[in-house]
Amino acid sequence: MAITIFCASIIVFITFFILIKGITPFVKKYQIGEGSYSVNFFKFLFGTTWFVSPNNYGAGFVIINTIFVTLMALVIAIPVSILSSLFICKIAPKKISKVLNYAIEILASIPSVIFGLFGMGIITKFVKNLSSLFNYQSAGGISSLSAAIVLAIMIIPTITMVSNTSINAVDKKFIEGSLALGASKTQTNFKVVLTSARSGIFSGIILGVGRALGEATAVSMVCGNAGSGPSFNPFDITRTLTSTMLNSIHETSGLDYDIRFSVGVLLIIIILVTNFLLNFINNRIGKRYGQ
Amino acid sequence: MDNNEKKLKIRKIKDILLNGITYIFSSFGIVILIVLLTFIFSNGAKSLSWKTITSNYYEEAYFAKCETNEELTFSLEDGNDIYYSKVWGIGLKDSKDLENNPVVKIVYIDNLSPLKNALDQNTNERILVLKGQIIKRIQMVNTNGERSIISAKYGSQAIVDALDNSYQINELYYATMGGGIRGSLLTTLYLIFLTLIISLPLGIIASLYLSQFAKDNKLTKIIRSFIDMTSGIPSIIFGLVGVIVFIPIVNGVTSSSGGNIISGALTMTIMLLPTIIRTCEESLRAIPKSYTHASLALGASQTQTIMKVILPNSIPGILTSTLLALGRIIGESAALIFAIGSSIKDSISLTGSSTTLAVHIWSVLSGENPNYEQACAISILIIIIVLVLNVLVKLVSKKLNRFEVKS
Repeated sequence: MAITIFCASIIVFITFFILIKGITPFVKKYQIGEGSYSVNFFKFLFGTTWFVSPNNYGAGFVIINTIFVTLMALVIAIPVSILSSLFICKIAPKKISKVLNYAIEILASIPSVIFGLFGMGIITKFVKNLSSLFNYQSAGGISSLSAAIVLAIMIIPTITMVSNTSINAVDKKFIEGSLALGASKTQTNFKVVLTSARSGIFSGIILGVGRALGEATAVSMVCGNAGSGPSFNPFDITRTLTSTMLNSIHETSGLDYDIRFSVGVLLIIIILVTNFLLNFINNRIGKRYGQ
Repeated sequence: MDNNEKKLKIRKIKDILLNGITYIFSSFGIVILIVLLTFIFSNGAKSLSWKTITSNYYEEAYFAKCETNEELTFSLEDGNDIYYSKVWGIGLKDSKDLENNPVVKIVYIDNLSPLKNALDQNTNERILVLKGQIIKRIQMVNTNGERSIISAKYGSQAIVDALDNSYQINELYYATMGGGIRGSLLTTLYLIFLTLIISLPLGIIASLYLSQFAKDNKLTKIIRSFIDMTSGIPSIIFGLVGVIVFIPIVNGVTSSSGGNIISGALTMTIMLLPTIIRTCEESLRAIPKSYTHASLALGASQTQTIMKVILPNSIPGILTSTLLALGRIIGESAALIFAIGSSIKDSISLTGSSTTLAVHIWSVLSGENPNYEQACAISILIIIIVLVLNVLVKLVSKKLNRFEVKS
């Protein structure tokens, strides 16, 4: 019993400790060079530059960039994963769907740092070529688009696997009814199967968003840690909350280290808020269609 | 009728279009996987060998001196980019070190080579010059009695030419190749061992409580939702927890400083507990209630029932959660960068900072000169382990399903 409660209270501990440590930079005075500084809380929330003077940490643009990169990743990942899971469950012959399913499972189990390596080695080159097509000089392909593609690759398996379950759970009666009414197979797939599995697919997307927002190593390897922003050019370097936390980690004390915890608090809040919002939307959709 | 046919035609075209899009999009997964695997295997296969796995990451430097005489010559032919010194009986080849700097590698040493009798410059004891080591700089006296220094940047041909002109080496500065992953591999193994030892008992006890004893009340509900919430937290946040909570605790107890393997294991423990509890609980719930009832009816106490009936039957579930945990420990990087450290070490201790294999990849890539070959080599290793674990999980969970099949 005690152990169980301990396990359950981990989350309380986590929030508590990180909150305390995260508030420190705004309260405590840090000795940097000649003067002593603390960080202005409002500058931190709404600022558009990161670390130009000793205590200038503006995370506002970092939040916007994070959301922007996540949205781009979703734009890539959602069609791919929904159609993949439709293909796996309804269209493909059994053998092909098995192979595809296995490929997705392998993708899901590959650690994030390997996707980061893949992103640095292949995707940045691809993006570099793409940007030169648009006559834009990117920083060796290190950009928000690269980060978005890497994230998309990482969340495609998540969304696909959850969608698989919900598409497989669609009542056979709906499908047979639709076919009996004269709809073609493709029409049935897109209009009956996908709409009935809507809620399950949406929860897959929610999981994917959570993973995309919290992913650290892979993103930090391809996003370039921009000093200011926000930037909505997909070929520009960017900075996300997680990459900020991993940036120049080699120092282990002082304001520049402690500010990471404030960023961590921001990350937790953003993840909780998006999760809450998306779940709310999911419930609303479900109610409207009488599910 | 005509109108109807038109509609059917349009529908057909639409169907074909939609299906085509589906085919294209769903091939993405496989295409990405194939590109990823080819990239990693083509880059890393060359540098992955038993030697990489067992050798140290950093170079170890040696200084030696050596003499030879005019009578001893070797008949060796240059070829395959290897240059042989006829006086010293060694073969040299241009190569690259970890930071991609050009170095000269010893690829051949004749059994009679005078370098076999090389002496340590400081202690005057015999010192080994081995194949695979790299030459950094040679200071020698040539046939005219002049001293000359030649360093590795001139290339192996120049070094061999200079060597063939001299019978006395005053200082041979050479080093082991480095670039091995022994340290990171050891850290990973320690971390796996420690984490499982801490997290498995905790997880099993918690899941036993949740599945057998917990009443269906509000407290249990809250506990459950808290555990679920923990599994949604990104790993980097757990890294921060490691820094705030575990590193100070371990530092206080063991008088170490900074990140260490123990704090890493504790961090991984709180990260894995939700998964372990969930999987174990599911397997405990899958055990038919009749087993418990039968055991209790036969007069066994509750403890006996748990130890002799329930736990043995939940072994597949426990095994599955162990394997899943293993995969996550091996692949985890963000949390461990904080909790253990990000600088690669050769001598590993439980209370010192080091890197696991995944963090090793991050470290060699985040410097000025990213070392793709080594990163890919480690990735191959990780991917193979992860795939094996995947297959094992499938096999075990097939066994797990036996209760559902029966009932």
